[in-house]
Amino acid sequence: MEALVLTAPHAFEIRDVPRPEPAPNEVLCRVRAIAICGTDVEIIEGSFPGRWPRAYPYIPGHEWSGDVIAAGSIAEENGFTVGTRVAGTSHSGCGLCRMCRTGRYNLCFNYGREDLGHRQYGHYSQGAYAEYVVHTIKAVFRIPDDMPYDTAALCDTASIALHSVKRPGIQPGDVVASVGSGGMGLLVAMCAKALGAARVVVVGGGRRLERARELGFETIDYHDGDPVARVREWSGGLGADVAVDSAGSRDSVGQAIGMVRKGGRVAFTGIPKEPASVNFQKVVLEELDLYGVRANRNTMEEVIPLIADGRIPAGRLITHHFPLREFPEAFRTFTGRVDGALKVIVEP
Amino acid sequence: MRAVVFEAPGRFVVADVPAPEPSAGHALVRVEASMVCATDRKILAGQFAGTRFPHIPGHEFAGTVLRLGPGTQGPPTGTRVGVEVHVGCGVCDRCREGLYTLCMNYGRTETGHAHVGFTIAGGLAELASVPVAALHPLPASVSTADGAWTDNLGVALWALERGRLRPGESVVVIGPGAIGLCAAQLARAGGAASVTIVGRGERLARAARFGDAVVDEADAGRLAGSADLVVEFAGTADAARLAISTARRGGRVVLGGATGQGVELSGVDLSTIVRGHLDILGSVANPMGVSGRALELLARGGIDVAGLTTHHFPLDRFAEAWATFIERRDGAIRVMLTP
Repeated sequence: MEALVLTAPHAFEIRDVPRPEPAPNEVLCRVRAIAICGTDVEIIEGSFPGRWPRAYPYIPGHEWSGDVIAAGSIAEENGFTVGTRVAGTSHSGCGLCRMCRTGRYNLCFNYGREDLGHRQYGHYSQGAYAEYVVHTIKAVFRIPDDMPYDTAALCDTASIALHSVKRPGIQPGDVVASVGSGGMGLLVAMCAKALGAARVVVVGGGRRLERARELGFETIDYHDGDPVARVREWSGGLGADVAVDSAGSRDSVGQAIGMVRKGGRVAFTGIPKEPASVNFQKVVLEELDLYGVRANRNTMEEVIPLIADGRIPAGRLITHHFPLREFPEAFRTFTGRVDGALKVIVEP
Repeated sequence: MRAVVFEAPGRFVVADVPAPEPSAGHALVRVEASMVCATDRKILAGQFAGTRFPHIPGHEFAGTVLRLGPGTQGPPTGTRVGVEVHVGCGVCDRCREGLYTLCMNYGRTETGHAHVGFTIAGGLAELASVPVAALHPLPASVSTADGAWTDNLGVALWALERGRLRPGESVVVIGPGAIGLCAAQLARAGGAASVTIVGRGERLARAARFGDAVVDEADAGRLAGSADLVVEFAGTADAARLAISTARRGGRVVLGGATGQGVELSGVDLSTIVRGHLDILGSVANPMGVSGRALELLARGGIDVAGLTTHHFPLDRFAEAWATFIERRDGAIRVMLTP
């Protein structure tokens, strides 16, 4: 089968590799659509040496959809028969440790132990930039017949956005700031609305912020002065009830904390590259709740019906499609934000 | 001013009465939209211990602040406001938890407690003196008529928050009355994947557009064990039994309908609750300022309360409005009176 194979940091090629075989609790899927994720870029550039991937050659990709074309015996007994349309996600826990048994399989104590059943597809386990991929049935989810494959490839990102707003909790009627205007920032805004936020502002810049406006969100451009002051002003001087940082930069982390009201909640879903200095006096004196968000758990099942009925219009973030062979062009389009690229779909 | 007066149990008139004077902590509100609720029937029947006759009822209303009582801080003159009905003493354990709806000084107006339209005069009148703590300024895009739903929306939203609604869940609402249909719409606004409304007759037919599906209570057995969250606003023992049997194992059931005494729940196999690992949650009224967030949701759009306001009358035709509501004429859900 054809696959995107990383051979070294910054080096990749499309080449022919053997098709994997499913174990009893796994399915073999024909991949129909993969979305490029910001983390893919980091992985391709070698930002997590020895970790994601552990070694070369390596096939990345974890936001995908496709069809089951072969199923192991356990997979079949669980309803993943040939022809089932599915969307994939990256984390598959060991199922045995305390984190897994309390539903927090994204924090599996046996992370990295493939011998114990743990996987993180597209990070260290084989990913989906290929014609075929094998996943455990813990990491694939049935999608409706009428959901297009490209939209379905966004279920993973959208489920992370949903987890990102569920960690701090959205109470109906809340006022929410989404810091970051990339795909995750916009999906966070959509999820907050779907959970009943009354008003959501997207804080960011550039063409992507324009797209947030086109999608009907209020926006604050961080080029137009201090975003913290702007959000406080936007929320009637009080500050937002909830802020979610998907930018993960040294500045954005502190800004998100600065934006919330007394007793407010702040979630961090962008992976910061460096330590950030934040106003911890505010955290203490204003009794803020801070939430780290690692990817997702148990939200694929929740997000799929909301995407299906249009309340999370994830498909509207798709700006480009490329066949797998044109991955270099797709990659350039995504990283260069060419034509305001937001979510770029690759089709093997 | 003109006002509806409950003179004695079972007897009411629309009469001229002295205009109220706002005391400290109160605002004088010009009532512009005011509705009738089933609880008013209990008040009129003399079943509500905290009410003294003669009494001006009305607890679902909105209007405009005319002036504030002496030394009172509150929404300035001209502010359009909706009213929530419970004001706590602010001092007791429940009030300090934010559950002022359960105030331990209920009925003791000298402690600052007020239950608008129950223990103090309400809004079925041209003017009402209302504690400022009960006022919610209406967002610009919310009409004053819709603002009369401030309390109802809060009651419905609180029931969903009691039930810890999660995104993507299937919700069943039993009882397609005003609060039930608010709950159905708010559940969708809060991320429910599907909302099924159970009831009967003309009200159920009217309910179709407020949910994803409607099921006649006669057929509701087929929903057994299906719902993540069941919200009951019908008030009968049958409805409560149905609610409990409709929840999936590990699900939640919020019972909100039977606010009056005398409805007894029997005939439930306790293993349904114990082995079913159900959370059975009672819910009454709207603490925690939840009505304010409900108004923000109303401002956002997508929640139709005007469609639940089935009839309109001038205040002087209260007798006709009352009969329309009590007899559910033409599928009446809420009747609105304009002073």
